[in-house]
Amino acid sequence: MKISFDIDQQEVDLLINSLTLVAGQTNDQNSRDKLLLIIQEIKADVGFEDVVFHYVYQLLDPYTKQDILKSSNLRNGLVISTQWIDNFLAQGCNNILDYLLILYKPKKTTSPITNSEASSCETVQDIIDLIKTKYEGAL
Amino acid sequence: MTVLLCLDTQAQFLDVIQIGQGSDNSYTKGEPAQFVATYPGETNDSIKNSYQVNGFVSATLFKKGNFSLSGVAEWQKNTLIEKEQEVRQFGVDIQQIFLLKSEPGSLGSTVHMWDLYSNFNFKSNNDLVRDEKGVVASLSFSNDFPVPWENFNILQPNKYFPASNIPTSKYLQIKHTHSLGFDFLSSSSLLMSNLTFGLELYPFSGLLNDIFDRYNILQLKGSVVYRGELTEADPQIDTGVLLNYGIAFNYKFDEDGKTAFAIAYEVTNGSNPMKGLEDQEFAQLSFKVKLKI
Repeated sequence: MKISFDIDQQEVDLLINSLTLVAGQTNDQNSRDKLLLIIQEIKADVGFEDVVFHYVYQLLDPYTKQDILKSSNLRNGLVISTQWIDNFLAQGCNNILDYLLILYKPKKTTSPITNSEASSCETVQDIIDLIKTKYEGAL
Repeated sequence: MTVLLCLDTQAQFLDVIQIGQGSDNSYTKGEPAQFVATYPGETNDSIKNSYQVNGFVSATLFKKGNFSLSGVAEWQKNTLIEKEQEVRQFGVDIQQIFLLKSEPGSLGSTVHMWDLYSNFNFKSNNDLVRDEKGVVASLSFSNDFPVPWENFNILQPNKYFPASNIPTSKYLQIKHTHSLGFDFLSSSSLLMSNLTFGLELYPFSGLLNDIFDRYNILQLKGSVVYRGELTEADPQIDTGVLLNYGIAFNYKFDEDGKTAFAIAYEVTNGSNPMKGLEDQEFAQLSFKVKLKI
């Protein structure tokens, strides 16, 4: 079973602390092991998002003079060319996706990001989410 | 009974099928197609049915790297104006993006410093109002400078200025586009130069974003197309300047713009021989809904 939901960094910290507390209080070894595994996966997921952000940052950095945050608006905030977003952002995202697959899932493939998928991104976070969705869907 | 059907759409499906207003250049390709039909009904025989269709459908037949070849079907019809217009065009559209200045970027990417977008289309042309058949061809070029310049960034096309962290962006943001090239109309053996410039102003962009969490809600838009005759002109053909300007209210219901709503008032003044539009002025008020599935 796969459970997916969006939470911010503060909520991540709260969830990890709560699960750690529960894991520390349970007497059942099996339950404790499973809770520790869940905590580990949440931490890995949070770390993975930062890895994706790092590469997206590198991709966008030459095209803006503004500070790149996850919440930055691509067109109005970073002033990135709409033509470049429509025609070349997908290419840059696919390079990142290919690199991550080689690095972490060497035998898996996924469908490439299309121009229309990439051009529907409004913020840096949207690009990160798009790459993560494709990465998680790799079979 | 009067029945008015109106649909305004601009869409792209799986990067293969594209729908827009005109296939001539990157500016008209990005504009939404328009369909309006008015049926006055049997009780009102004195008024004829009337139609407006400004649109094209293109399907990508071949794409490799920055080159693409598409098949295009285009229909430009307007019986709601003084000098009626109806042309049907079928043909091919070729786009090639030249990277005139670039350098290597991270993870095998290329940093685009100066891109030249070229567009060539060649179509059969059936002008049903003038009862003429022939071919039309257009070649157009537009520049894009994705990497910010040290100075005069505002001259860079396809970008919203100033950035949202600059206080004046709360009151005004602007974006401009351009294209230049040549048009050929075989029925009149007429070769024309073509210069298109589009300007979009977004008043209160930042202030409206503070309230609605959406940029570019209010839009003032204008475009000017200048066609100069390079061969001897047919006196029957109107060339010269085509002006379009108007105001629009755009609202995206969701953040990625899949569902959007707009009201636009637009004035057209001039002629477009490539679409059978004779020299005249008319205005239209349209209600637009965008649904992307």
